Amino acid sequence: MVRKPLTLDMLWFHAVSRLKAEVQQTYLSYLWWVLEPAFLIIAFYFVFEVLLQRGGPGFIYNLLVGVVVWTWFANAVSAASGSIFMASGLINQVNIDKALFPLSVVLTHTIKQAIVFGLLLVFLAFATGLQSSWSFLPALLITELLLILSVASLAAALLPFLPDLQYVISLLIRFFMFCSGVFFTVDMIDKRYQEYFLLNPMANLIDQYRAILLRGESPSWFSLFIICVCSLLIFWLAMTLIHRFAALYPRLAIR
Amino acid sequence: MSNQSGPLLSLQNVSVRYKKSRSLFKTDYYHALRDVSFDINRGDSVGVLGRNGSGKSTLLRVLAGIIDADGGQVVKGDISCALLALQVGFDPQLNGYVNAVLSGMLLGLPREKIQHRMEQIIEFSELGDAIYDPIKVYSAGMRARLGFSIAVNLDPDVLLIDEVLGVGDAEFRAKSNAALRQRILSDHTVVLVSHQPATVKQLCNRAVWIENGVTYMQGPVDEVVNAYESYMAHAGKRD
Repeated sequence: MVRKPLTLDMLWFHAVSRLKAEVQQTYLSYLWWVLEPAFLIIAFYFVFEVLLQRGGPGFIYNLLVGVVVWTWFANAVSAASGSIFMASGLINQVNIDKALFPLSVVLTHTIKQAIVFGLLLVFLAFATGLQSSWSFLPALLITELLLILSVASLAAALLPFLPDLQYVISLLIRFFMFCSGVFFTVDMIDKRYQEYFLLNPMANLIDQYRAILLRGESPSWFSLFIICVCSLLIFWLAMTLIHRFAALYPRLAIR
Repeated sequence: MSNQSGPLLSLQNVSVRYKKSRSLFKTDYYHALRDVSFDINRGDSVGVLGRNGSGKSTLLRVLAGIIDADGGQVVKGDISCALLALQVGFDPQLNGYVNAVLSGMLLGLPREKIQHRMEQIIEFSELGDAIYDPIKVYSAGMRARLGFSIAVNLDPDVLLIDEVLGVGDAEFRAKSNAALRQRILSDHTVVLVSHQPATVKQLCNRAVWIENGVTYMQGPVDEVVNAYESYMAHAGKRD
């Protein structure tokens, strides 16, 4: 049957409406967007700078960048991965492009994170001063968005077949939070492992954000290119799967 | 007026089965539809009759394109708009207004056009300011009213209706029946799934009777409904 293709207008309208509804459900509404990463930052700062005395100079800036970059990825991926699975009620009622669900979730988290990123930049501008290398930021943001879209869509496409995946995904996200250098920098780990460590795309991206925002360096275009190409391939695969299984997802919900 | 290119929708020996058990080694199937065949022409108003569990809802989902048939064929003619089932609870967290707009977008209508028709939709649904409340706080009747109002006012090529005419108070029921009859008279295509023969008789020109996932009988509404009613009367006596 004719399945209307997803329009950008619909995606935008869906995402913004959901954001508004979400905000109305809590007392602190928009504040949570900032409070959530703030708490993570405070926790890491307390553990590493105060308790373990391992912070070192500039720790707080590295930590800020790491947490803000990481929470965008982690929150978007963990929320989007179950999005088709959780929409089982709706997809049994209407013939809808299932790609809407993960894409809309990624979009809502991107809008939220845009504000957090804005605050981070304002803070850094005052604390460390503007640097010309900040102009590379859009390239990094686009790369991270593509990475998020690919991982989130692939997880969303597969999870209805294997509901157990939701546990695997939340475990993996936790694992990668510790292995992506959210609260430490690359030079703190043993020289032998640095090369391998940077093969993890999130570790690589976090390091590159720090490079352009804090160290005044240019990004490694080669790694950005590789991450973009791989992300696009995975995203394409995920979209193909979602559209291939479009009429199967409603049945899976019934089992 | 119509019929230049055959039926709008044609089901040929359609079957649908669901997996019953989730075990690695053995799969049991539940056959919701075994062998269903009928055509829907433009301007038709088809009533689908059947007892509970006869496969009516599955049939509607096949017609709406939500699930594919496992066997047989679903041939669609030139349908520019998607099909719309009633009771579209798009997202319970979102308010009625947003749900209505999203439903319209699903049919491929641009947002401005839908917002144009929102006044009509709100008025018909009699929801008033409740349209700005999240759907999760709606009563079943409010949901049905909104769903019906959206479906009727957005004019999908084929309107699929699943047993909602019984919901709502008598006044709204009369109003929705009238609105529906008006659509049918103006050459709109409607598929009405119901286990109430009276409703089908009142609104449809053709009827299909599904029993155990098989098209048991189809034809002019009076013939099918009369046969169905006398069968049900017998079945009632036997029980």
